[in-house]
Amino acid sequence: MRKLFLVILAFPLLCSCAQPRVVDEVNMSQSIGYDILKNDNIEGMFVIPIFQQDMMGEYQILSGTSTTTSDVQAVVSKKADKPVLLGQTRIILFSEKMVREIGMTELTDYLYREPQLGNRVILAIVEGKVKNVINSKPPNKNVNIGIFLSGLINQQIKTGNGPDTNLHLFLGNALESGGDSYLPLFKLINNEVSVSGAALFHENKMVSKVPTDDMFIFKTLVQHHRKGIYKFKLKDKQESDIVVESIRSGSSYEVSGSERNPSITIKIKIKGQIKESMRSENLTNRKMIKKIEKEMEADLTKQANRLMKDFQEKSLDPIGLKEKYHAKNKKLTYEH
Amino acid sequence: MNQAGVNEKYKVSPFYVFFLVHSMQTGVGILSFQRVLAKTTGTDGWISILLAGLIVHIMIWVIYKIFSIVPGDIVSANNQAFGKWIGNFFSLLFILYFLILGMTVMISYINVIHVWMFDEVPSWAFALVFLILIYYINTGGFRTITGIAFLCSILTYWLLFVLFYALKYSEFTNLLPVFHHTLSDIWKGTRSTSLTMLGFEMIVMYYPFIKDAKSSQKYAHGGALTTTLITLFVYLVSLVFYSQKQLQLTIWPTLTLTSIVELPFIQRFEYIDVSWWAIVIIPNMTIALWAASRGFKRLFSVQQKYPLWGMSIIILLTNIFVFDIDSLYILRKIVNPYGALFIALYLPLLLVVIYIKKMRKRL
Repeated sequence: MRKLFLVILAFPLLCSCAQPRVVDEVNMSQSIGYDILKNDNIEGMFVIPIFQQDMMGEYQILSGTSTTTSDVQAVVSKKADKPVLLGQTRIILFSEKMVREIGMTELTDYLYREPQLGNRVILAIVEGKVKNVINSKPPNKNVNIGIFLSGLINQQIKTGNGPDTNLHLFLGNALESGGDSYLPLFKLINNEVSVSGAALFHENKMVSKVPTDDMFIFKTLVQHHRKGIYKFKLKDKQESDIVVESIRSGSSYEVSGSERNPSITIKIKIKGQIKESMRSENLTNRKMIKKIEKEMEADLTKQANRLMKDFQEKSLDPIGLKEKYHAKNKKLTYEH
Repeated sequence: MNQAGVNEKYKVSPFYVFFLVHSMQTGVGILSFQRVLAKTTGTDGWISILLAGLIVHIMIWVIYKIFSIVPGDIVSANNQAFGKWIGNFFSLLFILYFLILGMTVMISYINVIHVWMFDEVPSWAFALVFLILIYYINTGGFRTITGIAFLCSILTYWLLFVLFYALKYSEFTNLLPVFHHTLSDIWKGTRSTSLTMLGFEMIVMYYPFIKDAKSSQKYAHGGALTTTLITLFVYLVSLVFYSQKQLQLTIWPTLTLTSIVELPFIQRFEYIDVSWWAIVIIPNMTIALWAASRGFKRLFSVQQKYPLWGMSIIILLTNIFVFDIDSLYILRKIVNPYGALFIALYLPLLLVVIYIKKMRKRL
């Protein structure tokens, strides 16, 4: 028994085997941005909060260039007083130019493999230079730009027109044959960062985008959603704007089993409330509501058709119609 | 002759066989079986799992049949069937198999810790801690081991509910289409799940330690059924959570799946999962090493602690001198086709031989 006690006493010696990572002694990156330079090198930027009293929201940006995304971290660490670690990264930004040139699976390979990073990391694309977005100041002084951007995306997912997105969901779609997927887009407008739609991917490269105005219908096609704002114009003399807030919306897909005429019927169901109608007429009038309903239906169908036509022309499938069709018709195989 | 006889005070209730079987089956296999299964069978993987579960049930029935004819453990059954020398040879094979199974579990888990948490800690440090713990549990005797198996099953049950969290990010059309793989694909899938299903065969060592052993058969079946259902559930959740290609890329789908969980007080849940998994692993290693050393004791009439020391040293040396990934590949190879095949072929053969001998005696 005494022997055993001695052995147990020796256990604390094993504790020093692992390297501790104390918050104060590392540079904890909360956001990463990648830009592609003219000579095909990659510039990486790490947003790192500074923890000091009375310095809420203070942060530093470390940047470095290298030929690969993972090596940037080492390059940056060479210039910093503490090692840069990724454990707390919430959002990773890529420039549009970069994802049009380099495949997403190549870029995310390291991110997915790295156990320090969770699966919930948000990926986003920046129209223009990532550097400008990362260097812009968030309107809220108490948070750094990384937290601000991830908060922005999350808030849009919950209450806006942004579809669910994170590393896991993106890769799930992107790794399928064809690799059709989507990511949120950012744009710097008058020195303010704002969401500007969705970037669409095919064969791992960004090929197109969905503008902000189409995001409501895009989200409805992709998933069920609760909140979300839809604005359209009534087609009468006054051409007044109607704003509808969705309460519960979503789409269902009916796949026909026949091999000769493969077809998918998409049914969109929207339960919403009228937030605003720029009109003096009383909304208690049932006729008026019927009219708004009808016009909204026509407008949405038009928009959805336009969107689908656009996807078809570019042979894109961000909605995952392929999988939905294959689920019902197992004989069908993918054509690359 | 009745060396296998065990003093009544060392025996456990038949009810605990449920936990002994179940906790031995669930281990490192369940962390990573989805990957190979998805490669071969994809959406039809659940058929493979059910098939594997069925085979396990048949094997359990075979084991209980053997011991209803020859009471005792595998060593006495071997001797009875094949005589002293050949019987002892097969008993040695069993001991070797138990040792390798225990080693595989430990090295697999150390590998997981290396990749997910502490890449810089040498593997022998983990092995040392585990081995001392296993030795300590083993000195308590079989009743203590049963207690540990029971405790560990209970303590880890909540991990199942973590899976529900993943359903939020799932796509249910991934389950379709069904029945579009050939039978040989499904059979290949069944073979790939064997590391998740193995472990029930430890009954052949601890059978004499069960009070009123015959009545424990239903609990053994219950334990195996629970394992099958849990495996099935984990696979279905993984299918809806990952897309096919993604699942084939992920080495530990069950762990990666938990990294989607975010709680207000903890951001990275997978670290809890990886750490907590040690509790799942402990009965695995303990029962396997206990069975191996017990077999040694029965064969050579030595005190059980000496073979236990020897085996611990072998495992420790493996961890020091062979880089753990290399040894892991070899061990998995041994366990997966050969070990599983050995169990699946040898036990029915043993039953047949014993049955024929019994009939002859009557004549």
